[in-house]
Amino acid sequence: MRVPYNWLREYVPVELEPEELAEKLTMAGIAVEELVDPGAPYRSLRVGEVTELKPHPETEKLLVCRVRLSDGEITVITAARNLRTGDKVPVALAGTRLPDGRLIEETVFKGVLSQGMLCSEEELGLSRQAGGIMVLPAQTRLEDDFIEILELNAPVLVLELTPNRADCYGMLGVAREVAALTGCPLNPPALEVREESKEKMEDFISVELQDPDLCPRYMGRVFFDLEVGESPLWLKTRLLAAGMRPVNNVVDLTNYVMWELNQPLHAFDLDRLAGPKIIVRRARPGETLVTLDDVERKLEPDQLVIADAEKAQGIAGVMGGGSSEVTANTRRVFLEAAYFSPVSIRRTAQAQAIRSEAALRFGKGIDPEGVKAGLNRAAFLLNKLGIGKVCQGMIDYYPVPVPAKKISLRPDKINSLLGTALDPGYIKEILRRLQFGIEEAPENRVTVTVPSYRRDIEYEADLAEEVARIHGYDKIPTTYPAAKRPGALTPRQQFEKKLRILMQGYGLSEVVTYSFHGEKVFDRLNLSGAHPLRNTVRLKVPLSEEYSMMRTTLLGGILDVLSYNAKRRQDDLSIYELARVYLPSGEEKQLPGENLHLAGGLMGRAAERGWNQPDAPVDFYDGKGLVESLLTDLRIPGAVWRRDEHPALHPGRTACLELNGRKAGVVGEVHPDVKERYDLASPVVLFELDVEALWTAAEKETINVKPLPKYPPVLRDLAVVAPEQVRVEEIVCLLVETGGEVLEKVDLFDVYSGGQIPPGHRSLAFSLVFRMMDRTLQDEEVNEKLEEMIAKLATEFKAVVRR
Amino acid sequence: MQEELQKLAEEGRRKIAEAASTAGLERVRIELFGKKGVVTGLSRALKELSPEERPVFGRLVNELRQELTGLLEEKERALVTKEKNARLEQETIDVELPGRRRRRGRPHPLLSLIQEITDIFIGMGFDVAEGPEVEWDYYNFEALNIPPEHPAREMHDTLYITGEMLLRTHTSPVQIRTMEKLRPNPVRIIAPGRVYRRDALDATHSPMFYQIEGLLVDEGITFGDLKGVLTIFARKIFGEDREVRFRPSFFPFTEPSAEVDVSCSCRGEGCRICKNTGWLEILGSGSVHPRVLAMAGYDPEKYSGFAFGMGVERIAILRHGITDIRNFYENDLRFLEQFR
Repeated sequence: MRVPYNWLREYVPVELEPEELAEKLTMAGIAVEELVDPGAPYRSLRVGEVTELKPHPETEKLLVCRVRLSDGEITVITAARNLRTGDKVPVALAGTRLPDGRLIEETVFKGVLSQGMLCSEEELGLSRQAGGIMVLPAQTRLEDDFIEILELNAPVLVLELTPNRADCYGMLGVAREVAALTGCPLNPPALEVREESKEKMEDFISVELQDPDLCPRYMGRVFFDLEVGESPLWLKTRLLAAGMRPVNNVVDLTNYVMWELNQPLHAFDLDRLAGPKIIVRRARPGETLVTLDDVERKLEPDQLVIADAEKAQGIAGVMGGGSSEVTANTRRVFLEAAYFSPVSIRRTAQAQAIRSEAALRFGKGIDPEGVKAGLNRAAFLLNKLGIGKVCQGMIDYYPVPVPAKKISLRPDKINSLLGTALDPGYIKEILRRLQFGIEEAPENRVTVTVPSYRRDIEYEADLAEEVARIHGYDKIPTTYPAAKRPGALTPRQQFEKKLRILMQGYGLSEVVTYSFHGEKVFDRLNLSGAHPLRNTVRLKVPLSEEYSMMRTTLLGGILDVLSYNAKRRQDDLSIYELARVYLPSGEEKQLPGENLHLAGGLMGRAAERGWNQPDAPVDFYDGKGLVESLLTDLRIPGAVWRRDEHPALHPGRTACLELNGRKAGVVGEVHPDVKERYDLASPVVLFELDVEALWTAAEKETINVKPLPKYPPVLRDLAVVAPEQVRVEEIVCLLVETGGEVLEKVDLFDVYSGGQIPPGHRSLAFSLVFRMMDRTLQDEEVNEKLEEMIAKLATEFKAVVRR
Repeated sequence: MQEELQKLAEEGRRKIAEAASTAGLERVRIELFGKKGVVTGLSRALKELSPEERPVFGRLVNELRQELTGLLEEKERALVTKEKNARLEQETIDVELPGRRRRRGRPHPLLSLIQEITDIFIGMGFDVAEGPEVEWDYYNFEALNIPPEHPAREMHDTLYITGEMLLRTHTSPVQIRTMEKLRPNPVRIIAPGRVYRRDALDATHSPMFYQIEGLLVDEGITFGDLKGVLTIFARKIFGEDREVRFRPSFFPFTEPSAEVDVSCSCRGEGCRICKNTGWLEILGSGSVHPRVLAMAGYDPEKYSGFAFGMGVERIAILRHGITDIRNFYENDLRFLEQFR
C-alpha cells in the first residue's frame, strides 16, 4: 500500500518528519518498507512562459516559440497548436530525461535550433489522451518548483501490511493509526451528498441479490448528466503518487475513493446494460465474459457475477466487463458499492489469475459498515468536481447485518499476558484512541466493542496486542523465565550428533541436498521399472518435474554433488549427508515413513594430493573401511558383510552390511553406467546406511573397563593357501573357535594370489595374538594350538600352511 | 719398569687420542683392557713381583689404569656426541616442503549453525523435538489457527501430496505435536528441520530450506519472557553489543506477535545487508494464541507461552554475507571449505 504523505495529512495533520512517522508506524506494526519520492521523474522540469510564437520559416506544421525561464530565455520548436503568448508551460531543457525515459537534446528542425521541449500531459504520464502542451495555472511563477505544482513534493510511505491489517489498505485506516499513535485529531472525509437530479434511481434500475452468501451487502447510486473527461490535476497526481494511472474522471473518482476509504467501487454504463436490472448471481455453467483487460474468461458456477438481464457484466469484486465500461460517451452510470465474501473473491481472483486492486481489498475483507460511506464519498466528489448529477435515493441490500463484536476484557489478564503493570485506565484509554467502544462491566471487566473495520480482533489476546503495540513493545519489561531443569539432547539425538562428528573426523565434508527429485533420477541410478526405490511419495502439483517426488535414497543427491564438483575440476572429494528418505505408507490415512539415512561418496584420490602422498585412487575397501571404523566408534558389534547387488553399484564390488540379521546398508563402487550418466571420470565409492538400524545395534550400556593383561602375549603369524571360494570370515571363525580362551586376537594382514600360488587359490596371512590373563603362556602350548588350527584348516577348507 | 710404564701410558694416551670413531676406540679399549690387553698384562705381571716391589708398582699400575680409563670414557663421550651429530646432520630434510595433509571433513554451514543455535537453547533449558516433514494439513495449518480459506494460507505457498497431506511449510506443526504429547506438562523445546514452499529456486528463494521453531508453555509465561529469551539468543548469535528490537507483526498462531530485529553491523551507517535501515529482521515470534493452546489441550486461562521461528539460511546469510541462497544446496567444495 502506497501512502502519499501529503494526502495522508489531509485526514490527520501530523507535524512529523515523514521518516519519524514511518518509524512510529513500523514500531506499531504497520511496517513502512521504504519512503519513495513520487516527484523524482519530474525533478528536472522547469516552468516557462511563452513570450513569442511565430510560424517556422520552412514549414507550416511547426511553430517557433520563445520561452522565458527564471534565468534566461530559450527557443523551442513545437507542433502544438494550443499555445498562446503568456501561457505558463512545463519545459524540459536539453539534458532532461522525461518520465518515459526519453532524453531531450538540442535539435535542429529544418534549420532552426530547438533548445528543449514543451511537454504535454501525456508526455509527462499525467494523462492517457494525446493533447496539446500542458498549460499551468496563470498564477504560476517562473521560479516555482514544478514538483510543488504537481503536489508531489512529499514522499510516499510504502507499507508492507500483514494480512490482519486489511483496514490499512485505505488512507483513512492509516490515518486512524496515526491519530491513535500521535494523539493528532482525525479529519474524516466529507460525505454529504446533494441529490441534484430530479430523477429517482428506482425508476431506472433495480437490483436482485440472488446470492447474499457471497454478497452480504450491495449498494448503488445512479449518476446522470455525466461529462466524462480528464480529472483535475490534483486528483491525477494523487493517483499517480498512489501508483495508479489516471483514466478518466469517473474511473479516477472510483479509484480515488477505493484508495481513500478501502471501498472498491464499480461504475456501469447504464445505457449499455440490457434493461434496468442488476442481478447479483453465481455464474451459469459455460458462461463467458470479456473483462476490461480484453481477455475472454470462462466463468465457473462458484464465481459471483454482476449481470444484467442477459449476461454477466462483471466478475463481482474482481474485474468489470468490457461491454458496460465507462467511455467518453457515457452519460449515465450505475455506481456499485458492495461487500463481497472475502473467501469467494480470493478463490475467484486466483482461479481467474486476476490481481486487481479491488480483488486485493475485497479478498482481505473490507468494512461491511463502510460500504455506504464509500458510495456517498463518490457522490460527494461527483458534486464537488461537477461532472454529473446524483439521482434521488440509493439501493442498500444488507439482509443480515454483520453484528458488532464485543469482547469481555480483564485489564489484569492483559497485564499478566504482557508481563506489565499498566493502569486499567491507561489500557482503556489506548483502546479508546483506537476507536474501540468501552463499557464498564462487573467484576473489574470491561466490555469492548470492536470497530467494524477491525475484522482481525476477536480475542482478549488481540486486545493485549493492541495495548502492547500502542504502549510500545520496547516499554514492556524484559524478563527471563527460570528453567526448571536443564535442557539436553536425547541419547538418540546425541548419537546423530556423534555420527556427524565421526564422519567429519574421517575426512568427509557434510552436504545438504534437496529432499525431492524428478523421474529422471531413477534412470540415472539404473533403477528399473519394478525397483522398490521407485515407489515414492509424489507431489500432487509439483513445482517442476525436477522436484516432483520425495526421495527414497540419498545416493542421487550424493552423485549430484560429486558431479557438480567434478565439472569444476574438483575431483578429490569425500562427502556425506545425514537426511531423511520418504517411504510411502501405502495408506491414505497414514503418513509416509521418514527414515534417517547416512550416505556418502568418496571420489578421486584416497589421500590428499601431495608430493609425498600416494596417488592411489579410492576403491571399495576405502568405503568399507570407513563404515567399519564407524561401526567400531559407534560401539556396534556383530556386523556381517555379504556380497550384494544394487542397480547403481558395480555388480562385483558391492557389499551389504547386516546387523542383527537385518540389512542395514550398502557399500560399493559406482556402476560404470551410472558414473557415465553423472559425467564422472574419477573412481567413486558410495555407501548408504540406515541410522535406525545402527542405533538399534549400538551398545548403549555404560562402558565397563576390563582389567589390563599382566602377562606377555605370544605373537605368531599364520599364512595359508586356500581355495578362492573359501570366505575369510569362515577361516577367522575356525581360528577363533580353535584358539578358545588362549587366542586374544586375529587380524588378516596380507592377501596374495598369482606367482607361486596355484590358480584358483589365494594366500591369506593372519597375525595371531595368544595370551592368558592369569599366567605366562608357554611356547609349547601355543604351538599345540597352531598345529590344531593347521590340521582343521586342511580338513575343512583344504587350506595348506605356507611355512 | 717405571720407564716401561711411562712408555705404555704415552702410547695408550696417543691411541685414545687418535681413535676416530667409537668402533676404533673400542679396539683401543680391547688393546689396553681386553683379556690380552696391555694393562691387563701389567696386572698379571704384578703377581710375579716381590712383596716389597708390589705395593709401589701396584700403585703405579693402578694410576695408569685409572688415567687411561678416564681418558677412554672422556673420548667415548666425545665420539658418541660427534657421531650422533654427524648422523643428525645427515638426516636433515627440507622442512620447508609442505607436510602430509589429512583430508578435512567439515560440517555444512546450515547444520553447524543449527548445532550452535541448539546449544544456546539447551543452555536455556530447552530440549530438541522433531516431527514429520510430510505432514497433515491439520498440524500444518488448522491446529495453528489457520483454517481452510484463511488468508494466511497464501503466505505459505504449499506443496500438497494429497488433499490432506502436504510438505510442511514451517516447523510450527512440531509445536502442536509436542503439546499433544506433553500436555499438561510444561513445554520448552526447539525443533529444527527442513520445510518446503512452492517457490522457484533463485538467488533468494528455495523450495526447501531449514527452520528452527521454538515453544515455551508454562504457567505465568509473559510477553516479557519472550523478549528476555530471544534477546539472549540474538546477542549470542550476532554479538553481545547488538541492539535487539521487537516490532508488532502478525502470525495466525501467536497473539501478540512480534518480528525480532537486531541492529546491523554497520551500526546504522546504512549498508547493502540491512538495506540502509540499520536493522536485520531475524525471526518471527509471539505469545501462543489462546486458540492454539486450547486446541492442543492446554487451558489458556491457566497456561500461556511463546513461540518463535526462524529461517536458518537467513541467519547464515546475514552472518556470513552470503548473497546467493543456492550456495547452500550446490555444495561447491570451494564454498563449503570456507567454513572452518
